[in-house]
Amino acid sequence: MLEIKNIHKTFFPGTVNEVKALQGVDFTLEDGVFTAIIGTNGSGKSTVLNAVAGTFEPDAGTILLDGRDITHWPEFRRAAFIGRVFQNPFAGTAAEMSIAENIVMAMRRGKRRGLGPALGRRTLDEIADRVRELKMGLEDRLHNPIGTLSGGQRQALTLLMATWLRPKVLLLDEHTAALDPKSAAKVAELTSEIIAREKLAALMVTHSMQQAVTMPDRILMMHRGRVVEDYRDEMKRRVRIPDLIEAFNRVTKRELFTEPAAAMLERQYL
Amino acid sequence: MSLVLGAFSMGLILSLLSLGMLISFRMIRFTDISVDGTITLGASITAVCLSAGVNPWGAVLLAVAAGAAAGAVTGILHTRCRIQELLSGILMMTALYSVNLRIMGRSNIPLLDVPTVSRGFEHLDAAWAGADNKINLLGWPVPVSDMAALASSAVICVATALLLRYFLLTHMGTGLRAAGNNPQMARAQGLNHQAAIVSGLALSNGLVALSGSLLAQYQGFSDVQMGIGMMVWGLASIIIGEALVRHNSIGLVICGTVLGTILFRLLIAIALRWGLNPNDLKLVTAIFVFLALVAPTLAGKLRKRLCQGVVHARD
Amino acid sequence: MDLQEKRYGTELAITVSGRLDASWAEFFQEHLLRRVRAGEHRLILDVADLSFLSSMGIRALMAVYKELKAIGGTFRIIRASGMVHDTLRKSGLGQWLSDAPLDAVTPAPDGPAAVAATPPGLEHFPLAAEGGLSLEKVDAWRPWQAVNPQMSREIRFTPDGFGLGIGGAGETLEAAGDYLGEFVAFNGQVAAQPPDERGRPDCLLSEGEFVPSLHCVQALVCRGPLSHLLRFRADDERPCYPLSRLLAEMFRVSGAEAIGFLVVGEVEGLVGASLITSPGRLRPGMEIRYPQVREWLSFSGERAFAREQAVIVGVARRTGQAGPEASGLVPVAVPAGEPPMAAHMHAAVFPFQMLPNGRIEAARVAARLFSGPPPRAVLHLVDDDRPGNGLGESALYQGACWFGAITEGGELL
Repeated sequence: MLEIKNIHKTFFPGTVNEVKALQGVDFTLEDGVFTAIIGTNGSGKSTVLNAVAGTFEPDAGTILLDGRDITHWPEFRRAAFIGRVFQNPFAGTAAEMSIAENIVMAMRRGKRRGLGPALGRRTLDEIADRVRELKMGLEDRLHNPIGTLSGGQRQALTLLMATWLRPKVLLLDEHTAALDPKSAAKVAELTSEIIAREKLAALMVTHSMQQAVTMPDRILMMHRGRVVEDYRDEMKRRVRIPDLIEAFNRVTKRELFTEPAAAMLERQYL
Repeated sequence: MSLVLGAFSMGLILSLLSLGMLISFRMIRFTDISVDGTITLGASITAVCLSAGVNPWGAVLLAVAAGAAAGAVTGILHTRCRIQELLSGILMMTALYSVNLRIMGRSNIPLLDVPTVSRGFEHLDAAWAGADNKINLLGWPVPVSDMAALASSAVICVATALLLRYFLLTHMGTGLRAAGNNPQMARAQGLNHQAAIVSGLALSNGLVALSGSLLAQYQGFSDVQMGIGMMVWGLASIIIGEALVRHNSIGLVICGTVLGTILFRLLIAIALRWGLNPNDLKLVTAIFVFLALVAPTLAGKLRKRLCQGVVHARD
Repeated sequence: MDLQEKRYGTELAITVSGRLDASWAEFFQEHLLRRVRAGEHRLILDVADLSFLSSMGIRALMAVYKELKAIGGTFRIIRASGMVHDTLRKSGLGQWLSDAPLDAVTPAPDGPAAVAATPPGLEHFPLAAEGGLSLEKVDAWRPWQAVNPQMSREIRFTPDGFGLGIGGAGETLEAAGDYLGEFVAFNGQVAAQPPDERGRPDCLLSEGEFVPSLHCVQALVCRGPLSHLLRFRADDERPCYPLSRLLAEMFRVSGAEAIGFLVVGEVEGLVGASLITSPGRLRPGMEIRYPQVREWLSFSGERAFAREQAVIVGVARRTGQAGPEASGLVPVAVPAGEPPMAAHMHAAVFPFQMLPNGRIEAARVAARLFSGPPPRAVLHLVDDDRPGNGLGESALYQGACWFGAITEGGELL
């Protein structure tokens, strides 16, 4: 269970570039719940993911994973429990290393990396078996540099790597946004499949309303560094794309309700 | 013949430097210019130890340890103290200049008649030697000492290369390479990226110091200035090696680097023989490295322009 | 497929050539419906050059026909030959085929013709010769007082009246207290916005003996006959009608000091506000200022609901001595050369439906709207007169205003 308690983060404080990225984000991600985070640009949805991943330390607030305070853990230490897939298909894999070498990195996520040979015959067989399940024909190319693959293939492998050892939380940062529509659909399908099979707790940032409505069990909507809507259970099953758009409109409407507007309404509204 | 032999020995010894730099420049992608200082560090420690009568192997080990320590400090300067890569290297290199002078006590220690690692090989070689203490190598008579130097450097170089290959293919070595290739991915896979840089630099500079140690023993002296320009030579060797193999299998890359270094030494030997002023050597090397770095982009642009020309012509 | 248009008197002839099949049917249907929406209620389809008509094409024709039939328009197909003729006749749609010459069919008169002497774009139809409206007013609550039972009055919305206000449905005021929100009522039909941002507006319709009733803390209810109908239509000269323009016309036509009115029309943009938390939740002593007011009231924030159909119910008077505080009316924008006016208007927004041309009956139009898909919103219309970035007042493209002079209770305003 991942508990995010009142996280604040301001980037470049005190400068002209000051960005109040997170202003008190508060939610709990239960085990086995697949949650999507949607929101406008700059709403802080990716920042939340990075806070969980440990890319930066929040200014205030705590992050608990299974009751353990990981707020001040460095990124690599959290990786033992957290699998990640990035938006950029090139970010999640080491381009010049082979498919097998990349995967073997994931097989040791959070474990000691000793002086034993990384790629024994048994390991290679195991890798080939799991890669075959992707049905991309990559099992015959295990020794090719991963940089020679397409974005979709790399993203599928990154997803496989992130879930090779069952993570307590899987973080997906718009992981299909940079792919062509066909690859995006394939990776999205693979994501749902793996999350359902492994019953993973996952946080997925997405721009696609379609994905938000169809894939996860729960939707969080963020705006200006806060969670403004939380659709779950029956509410989530009822929600459709127009409802999400309506919710976005409500948020924008609220924003347009400025002080001068309030003064005008004071005269006009009876 | 002794010229060729010398180039080979020198090449084998300096290939350790190139392998060290292969780790820093190519594996963990750290532009470590403290190499110039560490190689001298290896040489000066060896010189002092040998002069004091320490076992040559012991001296080599001590030199390697010192080099590794220096590399680790460079790494810590960068990772912990957040000093830029280049600046960390420069700081280390500058500091090492004084350290080396302190170790040696003066700017130059000659090593005449002290036991070196190649001395052991002389006994072995002596078995094949003729009466004039020379070995017949493909019809040329070669002094036993030269042959021993070649043999010892070859054995050390091959052993180091094999060990290095094994290491880079272990889990730890894979992690190290991943840290260099994609730090973000490495961290996401739970690898301590900073520790990887520190240990990579330690390994790299350990190898560089090993090279320095052997170099001092081969040349018969240690000089505080001897490291100047070594980084560029190492880089040139790596570039030649990459041109030779053009493959990213670890074994082949290591082979290529060793071969590249030997080839580079041979080219230098030939150039010097043809009358290249030794003072111009570093300039020529620098120009070579410059060209090697710039040529791929230039070639690409040129090709593009040519292709465009073709398109325009068709219009 | 290719479409060409030519006007013959009141009829618009559209020449279709090529194939009308699945690929083109949707485009074709939308094109024709756009024309109908713009007021072309008499269509002729010239199919002399139509080579093929598939069932998808027939379905599109059927959709347009149904729309026209509902609003009393006409639809005929001319110069059908060969296969197209056969297809239509065998599909049982032979009644669409017409041999009449292009400008032979003249419009059947829709009751008395419009009275002359109205500005272009407007048509005036007098409805009832005598009788005015009587006004009933509940004006107990003002923002942001706490609501108490004495403020509320239960009002039954019988088919003889129309009104607007803030109220809630429920057995008692206590039960309705959490649901007090803006409403619009007409002809025994009520659309109310429950005070919840996520909620959808609800409808209460007279059915049999059931008469909708609301507990109201604010209300303006008119009963009696509506004596005038004014039709308006945007044209090149006048791209849309701001509400103040319509008000000025209604005052001019009726010659009254105070009027009650109902407007149904296609929205150019609505500017308004509605409650998002019931005033029933206000407690004595609560200070509601900015920004807390955003928890209670939602502001449209833009010119909203373009191209939808709005039902606007309101009461207005030409301002004299009484200030807005006393009257429950707020001054509205004034078109050049008109005397000042004040009004209180609520709008219910429905998905767009076509209105027939000419003289139409308010009750029938309202019944069709209220019994169709649920309204999208109910809001209190305001005139956003902030200098510089104000949104201005609400405006409509075309539609109908029914109105009458308030002859009884006008002193309440």
